[in-house]
Amino acid sequence: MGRLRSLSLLALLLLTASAASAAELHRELGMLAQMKPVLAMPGTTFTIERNAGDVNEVTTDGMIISTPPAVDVMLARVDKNGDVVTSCVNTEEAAHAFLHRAPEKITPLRRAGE
Amino acid sequence: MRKLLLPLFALTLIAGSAFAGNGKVIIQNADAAGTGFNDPTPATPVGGNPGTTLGEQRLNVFKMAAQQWSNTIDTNVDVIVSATFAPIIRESDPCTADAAILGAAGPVRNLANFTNSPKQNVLYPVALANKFANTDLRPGEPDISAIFNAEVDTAACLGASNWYYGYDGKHGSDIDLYVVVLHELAHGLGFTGGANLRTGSLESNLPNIFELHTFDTQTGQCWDQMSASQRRDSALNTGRVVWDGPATKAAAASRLGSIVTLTVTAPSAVAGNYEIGSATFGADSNTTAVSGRLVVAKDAKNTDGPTDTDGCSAFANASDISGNIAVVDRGSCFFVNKARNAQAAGASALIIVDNKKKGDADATCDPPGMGPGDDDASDIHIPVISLRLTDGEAIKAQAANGVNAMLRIDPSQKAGASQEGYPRLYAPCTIDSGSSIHHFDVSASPNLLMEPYTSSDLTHGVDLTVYQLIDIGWTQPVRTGRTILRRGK
Repeated sequence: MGRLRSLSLLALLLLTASAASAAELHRELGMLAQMKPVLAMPGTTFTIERNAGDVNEVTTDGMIISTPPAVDVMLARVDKNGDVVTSCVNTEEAAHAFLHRAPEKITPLRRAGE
Repeated sequence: MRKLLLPLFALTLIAGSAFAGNGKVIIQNADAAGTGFNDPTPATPVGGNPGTTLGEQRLNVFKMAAQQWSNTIDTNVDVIVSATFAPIIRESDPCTADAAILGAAGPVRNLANFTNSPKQNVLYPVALANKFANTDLRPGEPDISAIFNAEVDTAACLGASNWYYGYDGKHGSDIDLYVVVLHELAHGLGFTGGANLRTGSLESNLPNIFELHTFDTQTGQCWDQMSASQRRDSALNTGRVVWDGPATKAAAASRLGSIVTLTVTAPSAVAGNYEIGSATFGADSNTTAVSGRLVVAKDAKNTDGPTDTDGCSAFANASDISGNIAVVDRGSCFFVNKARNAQAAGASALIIVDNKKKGDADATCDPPGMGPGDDDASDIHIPVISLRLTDGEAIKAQAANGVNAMLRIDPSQKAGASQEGYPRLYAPCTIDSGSSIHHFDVSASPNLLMEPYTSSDLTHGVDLTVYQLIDIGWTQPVRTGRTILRRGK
């Protein structure tokens, strides 16, 4: 009985390992690479706010599928001293304002000069 | 003994797979041949990154950051990140020598009412929903989408600053890609909500799990309990919007440092603790306790500064200032100039009162942090702090009655947390100052990965961020397997 239990556990272990190998193989075959990204594809215009946050679909079993209305994007500016200052925003107007602010007004969020 | 070890070893691996999860964060290279992650431009291995082409180095950094998140969160379902490293095209904001979009990432979908959903009618990022459902709810679609800007590596974009592809954080004047990827992937895993900050409306009229933990200490409501207009107002309620998740709160108590506060002891009309902004120059207010009378400094109205309280010229009331704490207004000249004038007048410390309030352009409504600007501040040896405009005006109005105060460390208060100990979320009083709500507040110390900007002193750790993810439902891997194996031995 003890040996039988050991063999059962070993078989279960091998099955687990086999499933893991299949998953690895799946990845290596590049099947996942067929998926399309949702943010801007190369060559298309990048937008931060993408929709009004509407429901895309409700499945027959009631699952609600929604596309987020915006994405958080990291921006960078070079200040008047040549240092890079970053800011992460999630609205078009905040991005535009930061990217076009006068260099002398660019300071780290934590520290101003005057 | 051998009979005992085999089943124990098997049990160990099975337990490990059952409780630690087999899922990984996987980077899916979505770039075309010869571009982005496939750029064949030769590159020298740097900072532990062994890649020998630009593309390899970029992909290696992404994979390293993904591995770090794989080691941090627990799921049985792979988290697929579809990533590109192409030039980001945005006609209204093209990449220039001093401005660029670095990169972005976020959940591809948010799902509600799925199998094993912890709460009904609440949106979860798809990667987390998959974890709860224990299956891929959106097969054939990635869970997180990421786009990073390859143009940063050109001279036309951010000048001499390029991406740094090392793993060691020694990025110098370049931008540490590892930190930015780690930050953006956290957004994709759920450090983000769905509310429109301008209108307060919810994504698909449903709250996101993030909004269930976004709490306004002034109104006593979480964002899912508010109307749209209340959320819109709360988004600008600086210092009062916090993350109320218990895991993050508990972690904040040990991980955030104590802060220095200004405690006014008299008169009673203004007595109390005031939040301050600190300076990167002068005496360290963390180690230099100061007490005394607050005296408003008077100086000449001239070309250095047009008002008699801006502190831009030598103080006219130096005899009153000497030995006391000087108070001046922000504006017209560098902070260092004001500090130099205060020090010359014999002040024991300087308080600079902000000149912006809610509704003003560029206002953050936090006491400003202060740097030396273009000046050399090595001669400044008194503490220099700032106050909010509203606080400063109230105190100055009582100056004639004799305002006594002390500057000291308050061990009960944590830098970046509310009085109740909840970590603050970034809620500048104008949206233009940066993304609201979906970041920890910039007052946190030490600096955190999910503040709205990347600090040069950030390590490659996930600090409080992992606890935020735990609060929305992620779990950390449980290394039960190893424990059982040790027992077997």
